[in-house]
Amino acid sequence: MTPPLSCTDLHLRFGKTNVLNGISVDLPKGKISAIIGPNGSGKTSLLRCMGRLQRPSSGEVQLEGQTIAKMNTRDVARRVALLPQTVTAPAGMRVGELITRGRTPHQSPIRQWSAKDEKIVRHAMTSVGLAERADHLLEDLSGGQRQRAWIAMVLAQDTDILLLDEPTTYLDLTHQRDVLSLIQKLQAERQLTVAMVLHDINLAARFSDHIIALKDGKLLTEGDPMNVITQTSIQNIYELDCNVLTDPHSGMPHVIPK
Amino acid sequence: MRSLTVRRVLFLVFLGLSAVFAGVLSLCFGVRPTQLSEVQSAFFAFDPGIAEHIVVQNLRLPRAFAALIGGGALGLAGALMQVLTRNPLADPGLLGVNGGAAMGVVIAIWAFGITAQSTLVLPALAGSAVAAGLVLLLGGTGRGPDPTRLILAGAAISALFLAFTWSILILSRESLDIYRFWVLGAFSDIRMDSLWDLWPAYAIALPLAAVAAFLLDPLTLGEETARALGARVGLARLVSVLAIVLLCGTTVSMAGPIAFIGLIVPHIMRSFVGADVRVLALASFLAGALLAIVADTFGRLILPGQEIEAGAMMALIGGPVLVAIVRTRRGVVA
Repeated sequence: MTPPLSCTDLHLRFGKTNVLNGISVDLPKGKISAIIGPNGSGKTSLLRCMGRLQRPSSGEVQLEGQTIAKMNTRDVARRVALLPQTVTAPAGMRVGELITRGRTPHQSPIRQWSAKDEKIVRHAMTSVGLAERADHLLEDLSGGQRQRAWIAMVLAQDTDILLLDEPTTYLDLTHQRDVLSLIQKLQAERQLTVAMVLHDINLAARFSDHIIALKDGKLLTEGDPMNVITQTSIQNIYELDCNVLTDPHSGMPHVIPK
Repeated sequence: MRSLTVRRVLFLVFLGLSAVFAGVLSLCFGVRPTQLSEVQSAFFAFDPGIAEHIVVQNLRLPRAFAALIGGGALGLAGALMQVLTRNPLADPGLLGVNGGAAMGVVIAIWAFGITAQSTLVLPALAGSAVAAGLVLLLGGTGRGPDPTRLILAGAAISALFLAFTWSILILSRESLDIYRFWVLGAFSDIRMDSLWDLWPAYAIALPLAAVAAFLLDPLTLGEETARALGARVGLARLVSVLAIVLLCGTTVSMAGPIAFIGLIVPHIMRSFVGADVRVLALASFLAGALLAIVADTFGRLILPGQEIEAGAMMALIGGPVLVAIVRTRRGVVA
């Protein structure tokens, strides 16, 4: 079975800096993968290559066997949605309007807005619990609600693959958990293949099925959180002395730095 | 969502009707006030022996057309410019068209002895085309124009052209006298001939601007998000810059550099219609037309027997309106 998205020997250089040094990794179908690693390890660059926002210096990314670099931009956007880490909406934009923008790759000058678009947007809005707030200004929402609105925007793109760059940035503890549970719920409902960059290794352990650990632009290890998040591997990834306990609630590994 | 759409459509219709209404009313006012019935007969029962008929048809009608289309073009260009650069203070003049037009005008006066305001249109158009061309060359990259580079190139070219302009003005006092009226910006000296010369430019620029508004819309979410949504960022920017340059270059050639509309109108409109670029562009076009025709008409009324140029009038009306809106409405500041 071909994986939904696979990277082969990705290298990325900016001038003399090597950002990615030959990464080959597949996203498992219908699973949530968390990309972890220290700052500057190439997490975001890898995600941007996967979403074709960044052209790798060499190597290639394939979508179900098709080389992404040779595909039409809109075709890619109909199959892969990517939510950048820092997003800004213009002043005066309303929740409904933002989510509607997710339909952009499905529209063309000839085919503008259809009942199907309307239905998908409604569905996305309901999925994230913002159906009642369609007419609210984005700037009136709380941070957590705003992040849910952006997630609804990429959901409205109606893709099988969802790439999220640190979806919990700027959120407090409760909202971090809420957003990640929402992603988990949506993934299960829609059978999505999700990859997200996460800084918090404990959240990654709890909310993902697969961990991709990077260091210095290389794939250090990957696999089930149970197997990847161990004292030795955390030592290797972050050069951090730590204890790994078992979370009494989820049964997943929990890292406590020494 | 639906009630919002209805409200916006009603607002746009209201703006459009107001602009047309103000345009018709403007035909009644001037040094010689004219009854609406007389204006009517100037069209339907034209008599070249009646002075009012001549004034309405030859002076006030082209003037009203120029104010409506010129004001609309500047409002529209301003909306595109602010979205393109994601800068609420961006003004279409930043692309160098004003500086270029000014230099074209001054060279025409100084070197070729042109003195009538109405014959300055073509030199101004040539000047703004040269300036805009240079800015596009300097501000372009392999992947389409870069907004920051464009503004820097525009600032540099404007400064350069302004320096040339002032050098000539210092040498020639006569140029200065004509230039200072041109630079205020006015619709008063426009004749039908100039409108005939310029309409093809508007006929290209307006549809181009409509396309630009559609292409630019995803870019309001930022370049990264727009690209992730499959938008063609380079193409969107190129089409927008061409539309802006064509709209402004043509209008500046016709009416002089009227900076205020492009800067202020999109701001005011954003608070009424929201952030959708397509709606914002249309609203800015209609509101720009309305502001220009109202300013031009009031400019004829305030001082008996004298006129205040539309460019100055617009700032006099628009300034307080903007302050009031910024202080009372939300969603104005980008």
